[in-house]
Amino acid sequence: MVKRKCEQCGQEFPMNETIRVGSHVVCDACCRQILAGPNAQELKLEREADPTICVNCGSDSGSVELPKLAGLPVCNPCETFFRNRPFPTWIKVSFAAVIALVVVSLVWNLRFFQAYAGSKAAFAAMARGNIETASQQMSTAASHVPECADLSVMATYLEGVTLLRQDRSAEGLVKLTACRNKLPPQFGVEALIAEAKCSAAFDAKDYDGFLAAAQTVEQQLPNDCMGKATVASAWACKYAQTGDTLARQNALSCLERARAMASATPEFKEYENRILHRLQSREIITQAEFARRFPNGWSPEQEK
Amino acid sequence: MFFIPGQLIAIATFPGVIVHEAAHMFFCRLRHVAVLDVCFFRFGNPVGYVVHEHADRFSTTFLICLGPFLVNSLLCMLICFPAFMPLRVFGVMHPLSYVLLWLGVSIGMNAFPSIGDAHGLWIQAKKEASSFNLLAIISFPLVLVIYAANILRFFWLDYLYGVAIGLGLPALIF
Repeated sequence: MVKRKCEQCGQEFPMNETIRVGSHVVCDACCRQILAGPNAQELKLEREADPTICVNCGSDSGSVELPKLAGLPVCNPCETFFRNRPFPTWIKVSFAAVIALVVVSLVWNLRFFQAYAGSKAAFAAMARGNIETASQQMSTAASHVPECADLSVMATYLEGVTLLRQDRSAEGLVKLTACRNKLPPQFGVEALIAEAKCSAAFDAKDYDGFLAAAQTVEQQLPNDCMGKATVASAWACKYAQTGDTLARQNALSCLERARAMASATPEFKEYENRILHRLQSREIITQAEFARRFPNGWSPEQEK
Repeated sequence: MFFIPGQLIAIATFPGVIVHEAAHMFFCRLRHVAVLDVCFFRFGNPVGYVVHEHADRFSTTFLICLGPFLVNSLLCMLICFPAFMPLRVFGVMHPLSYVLLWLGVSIGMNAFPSIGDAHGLWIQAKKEASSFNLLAIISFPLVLVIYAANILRFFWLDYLYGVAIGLGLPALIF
């Protein structure tokens, strides 16, 4: 320990208990007296630091000066402590708690991530035209988050479309009707409902109902050849059922208008042949039956 | 725009202050810089601080100054991420999501280095730039950005940053 003599009272004090006031070194008591006097505010005060005593733990190294850290004497153990100062336990516990909270919430919310991934995959499958896969994936996604109404509407919509494609129109109609006014117009729910009504009426052999529904489809899709072809199909059914030549004439007229609008897609060609077959044979068969009977296609010339 | 004293904001977002100071301390430890005193949070100005020795290498000063920005930003994203999906994508509200969002945005809000950090970086960058230290030269515009960000705190830039990092980034991804 280094000792200093107070220049005011002449007594010796440990260096750490002395204060440099300007160019003079004084003890605490004398410093207080100086500060009580005039011009005290202009004085520059600096506590003396004993280079042999650690500022942190106060250990005395005798006459050996300690290494300095940030200008202050610090013993080796304290220097090691400052350089590797540990985080307080509460910080470590808090950090662990935050990480645990994040992990728990990730696990807790896993179903949302699964639903998101499922709905993304469903939309991708839908874009590829794979409606059945899309429907399955969307239904699974909706089951993960049952509280999300949008997802369940989308799942119901895709189930409806799938049922429609599977010729289960009556069931499809129920599903699609449940989606009414709940999806944006681009999903074409109204057109699909009209299409489902057509198919359901056709399946029920209600050809008046089929014609009415087909005319609704035509109104909704005025620029679509398939809409006009559906009306032609309905008139052909009426002809096949009643033998009414006016119905036949109407069917051919509608088909002619549809043909004028149609691009030569295989889908339209198959439908056109089915209608012509119906008009020629007065036999009403389903698309599946038509495909089974005429696996290589059918044309009016072939029949003759 | 309405004014709320910084102290109140600091209290409301105290986890961010703690993380900010802990990040300063973490980088000090990483570079074996002596930490003389540390306060993770207090009701005062500044609300938290780390007193460390002067670092000899500029890269160390740079890391200690800007490290909390990275740590706070990353933690903000990490914490907000699980809450984002149910709330924003599916509209499902759960108290846990709100807790996470508060925690995440609080941490994100305190990502910006303080004026004190910028000042320390500026002083050392000036010395180092004379010896063509690239990092020091890069630091000048960064320091200006930090100063500007601290001024714009008055206009809630720190809050906007926290929201952008915590909610904006996941919105761009999903």
